[in-house]
Amino acid sequence: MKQFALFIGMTALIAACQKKIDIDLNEAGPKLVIEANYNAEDSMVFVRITETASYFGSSSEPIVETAGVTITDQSGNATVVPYSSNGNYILHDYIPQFNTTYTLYVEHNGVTYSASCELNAIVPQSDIFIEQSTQAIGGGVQGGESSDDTTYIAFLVFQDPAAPGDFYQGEYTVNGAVKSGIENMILLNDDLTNGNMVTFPVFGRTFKQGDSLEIDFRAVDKTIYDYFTELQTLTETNSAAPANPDYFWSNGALGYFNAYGSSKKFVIFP
Amino acid sequence: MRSFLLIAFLIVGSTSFSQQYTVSGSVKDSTNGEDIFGATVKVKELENTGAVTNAYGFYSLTLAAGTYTLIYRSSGMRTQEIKVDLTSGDQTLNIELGVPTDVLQVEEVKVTAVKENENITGSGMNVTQFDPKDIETIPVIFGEKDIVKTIQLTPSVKSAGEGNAGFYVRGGGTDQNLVLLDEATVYNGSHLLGFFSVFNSDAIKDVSLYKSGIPAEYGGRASSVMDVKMKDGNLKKFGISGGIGLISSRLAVEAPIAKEKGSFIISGRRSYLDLFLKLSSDENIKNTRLYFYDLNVKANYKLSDKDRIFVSGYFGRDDFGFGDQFSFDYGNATGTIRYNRIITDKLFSNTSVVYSNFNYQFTVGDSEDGFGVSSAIQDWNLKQDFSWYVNKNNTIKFGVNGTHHTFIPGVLTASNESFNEIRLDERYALELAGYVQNDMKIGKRFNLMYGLRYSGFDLVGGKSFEFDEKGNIVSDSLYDRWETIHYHHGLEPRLSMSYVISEKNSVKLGYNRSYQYLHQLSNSTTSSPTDIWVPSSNNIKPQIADQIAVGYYHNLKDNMYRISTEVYYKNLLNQIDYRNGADLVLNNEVEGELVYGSGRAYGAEFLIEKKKGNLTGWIGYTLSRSLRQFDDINDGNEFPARQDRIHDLSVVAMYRINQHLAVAGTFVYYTGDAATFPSGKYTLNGETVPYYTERNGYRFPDYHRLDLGLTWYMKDKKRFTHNLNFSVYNAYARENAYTITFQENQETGETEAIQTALFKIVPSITYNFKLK
Repeated sequence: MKQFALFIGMTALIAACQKKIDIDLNEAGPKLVIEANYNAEDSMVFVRITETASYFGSSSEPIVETAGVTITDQSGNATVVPYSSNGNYILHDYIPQFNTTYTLYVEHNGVTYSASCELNAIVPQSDIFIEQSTQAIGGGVQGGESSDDTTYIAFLVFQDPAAPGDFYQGEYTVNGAVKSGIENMILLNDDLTNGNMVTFPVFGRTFKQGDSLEIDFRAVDKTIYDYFTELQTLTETNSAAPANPDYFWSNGALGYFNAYGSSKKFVIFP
Repeated sequence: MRSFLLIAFLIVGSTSFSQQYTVSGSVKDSTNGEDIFGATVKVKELENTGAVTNAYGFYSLTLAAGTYTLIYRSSGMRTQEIKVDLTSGDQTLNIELGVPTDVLQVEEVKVTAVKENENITGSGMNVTQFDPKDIETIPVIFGEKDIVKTIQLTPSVKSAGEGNAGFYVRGGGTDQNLVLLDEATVYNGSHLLGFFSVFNSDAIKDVSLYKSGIPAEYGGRASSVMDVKMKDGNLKKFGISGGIGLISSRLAVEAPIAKEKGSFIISGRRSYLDLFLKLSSDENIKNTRLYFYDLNVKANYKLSDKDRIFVSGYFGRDDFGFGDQFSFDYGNATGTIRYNRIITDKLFSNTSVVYSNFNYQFTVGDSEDGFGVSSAIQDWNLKQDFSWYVNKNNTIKFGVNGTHHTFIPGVLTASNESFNEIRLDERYALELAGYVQNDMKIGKRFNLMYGLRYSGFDLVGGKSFEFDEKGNIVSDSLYDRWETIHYHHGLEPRLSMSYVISEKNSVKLGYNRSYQYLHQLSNSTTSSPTDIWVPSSNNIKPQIADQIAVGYYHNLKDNMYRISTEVYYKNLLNQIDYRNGADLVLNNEVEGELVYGSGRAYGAEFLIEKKKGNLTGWIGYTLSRSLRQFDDINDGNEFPARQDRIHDLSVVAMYRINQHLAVAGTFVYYTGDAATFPSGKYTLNGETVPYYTERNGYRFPDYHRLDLGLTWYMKDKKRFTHNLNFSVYNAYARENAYTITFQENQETGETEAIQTALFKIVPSITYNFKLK
């Protein structure tokens, strides 16, 4: 559907004009935001706890320093995730057990918030496939450079396992700095591609000679796929009725808990 | 049901049985032989006695033996009075009405000469009729005259957005309007992502919009019926007409097949925006394809004085593309075969076979490495309708129809080996309906139209799913091709009545219940051809609308001014919305993505029209609300529908300067659409994410716009008339918000609201001609 959205965008370009306008927004009371990742590859649990802020404010988000954070494995063994700094809670050397479920508990101001996530086996990336292109797929905005510059498009390649019901999340970094972000995050299920060797274009940009690209590819829990899919629709401008993603955490905290192992590939464009 | 029929026949039968005779026949336009729909036949000697022609120009009037004067009238035509002797037997009177001679030179400009107080004395409060000729000078975007855009300027009808041919009627959704083109359902009424309607005004005879008290012969949508009839073709002589505009051109050819017996019309239109895109220096724009075309064809032939056959068809297509990377095309095709028979001078029959198809496909990449998605909905409809002109006070309409729907929700074909070919389950349904309705006059002042429609919807064959309350599949079942999965049905009472207080004023009331068995799924603010239609099923209940409306009508200064006020209340059941992050495309289990709720809409509409003189036009104002309630949305609290426009004002003015020049202007103002904006923000993955507290709790800025038009009628040649139309859309360059997005200002770090407006000033010029 991205192409279609692009198309509407292009049509609109012919005549469209933009300007900044003032809108009075209501102030919502602060809500707790828990962003929790368990990166099995690094054996690290990283939890960031913040609060919502006024929409038009420019100050950095309020951080929560006094929460109690615990991670529990499938057998019920609890380990404390200690506070580090700047709203971050970090636990190192937490050894993963794949295909088991982890639960994270956050206790703050007398309320306990919890969320569970299954740590899936890693699905390795086969390759990053690159192709010369005269035109950009999808992110055509980046095209149109002078003709002697060769542009490339890149493809994520992996072998989907035979069983259906796999979900993937991919994030990429260009030249060590530019991240895909939520908008261009790769979110795939295997509804249409089950059991295949999958070649999926990296939307959102083209590449030049000398650019580097790293793709961090994760087989994730369905809840994570759903959560980020919902979050991604918020970044599309013509959503008729945007809403917060469904609550991941009990007791209405925002954010998510993602336990994953990742497969990384790196390429420099020749 | 039985007691209803009994009462109906009791009322019908209560008139006395003195010796009676029938006068019947047809009313046609003398210039081209087209049937006139809605012409009135009044009996001069008897108050509140008369008939109205049906869609095929047929009327029938049964009176006690005697001699009468019949007055034939139709809007813009010279009235005719004919004496008829009904002392010894039935009579057939075929009448041709002509345009008054004083306006012959400037035929394009319609003058309302007659039928002046029909709004007061007629029973139908609830229908608005439009003739493309009436609106010719009204300025429109890109100069492409469009009857749907004009309908949007009347109270109770609102545009679905900037330049959009979609419309909302009295708080209902765009998918709740039944749009018929010669009886065929048009599933997607717009071209070019909504900027043009599919109705080429050269091919359209008239349009009727029913917004409340909907007659029992119509059904299938919750809010309104827009019944569009194509021209039949000139029965008298050959004619060519057309227009050349900046965006598109039109050409229509019509001629008799056999003089006075049969005729045809072929009308085509194509846009050529893509030719301009080729001039662009930007590669991306240059490689873009962007055009639409449509073709209307109709022919009719009189087999005998009592039998007539009509064949009509529409084919339209939009095509977008971007190099060989991407292409997208969609369109409607419809076909209608009708057979009219005057069985007796009191009984008129029409049998129709109707076909309708809407489909779209898009492809990404080329045939070696790419994929394509297509989807379609297809209907076959068989209809039988009767009009029985029982006596001078009662006209009964009854009929049956059955439609077979085929839904092809999505097929994915791929040459790219990453993708498996996929074919979503096709679904089939039979939609059946039967109705009876009586249009009745009681005494001199009271008109009553009451009817009942029974409709049923049988979803047959294929796969069905059962879901839990979170939308997860619990089980599925497979059915044989004609095995019933689920049968929905209901009774739809319809009522419309009027009381004529005097020649100058009247009150009217309308009530209708309507069932809607097909539902359009769309999750974007801009209407998209990829919005899919789904049938009612074991999971989706039919939408049910109940509406009551009351109106007061007053004519002033010898019918020069018409004033009317209508208030309405509409209740909507089984409305559909979506779960968070709902995936509507290529999803076999799409029913699990839906949530159900209810809605209500109410409002008051005020309209002042000036019908005579050099200056004509109207001012319409609507104060209304449209609200929805879903247990799963907005914490179960009622919220405004997107189209909840509290204030809506339209001003239309047409001024005739002299024989050669006419100017026109329109002004619209309405409350901005309800929208969901964030009430806070938080950080995830190092990015700012909006935090929402309520659905549609905010408003777009108010919308307003002025359009101006000038039409220059150039000197006529013998058989040739032509004119030039200049128009300016959005004359004072108001930047109306099309979308509002929020983004971070890179310099200040502050989040800003950015509105995008589609058009500033859009000037256009169109040349129209007619050879006859």
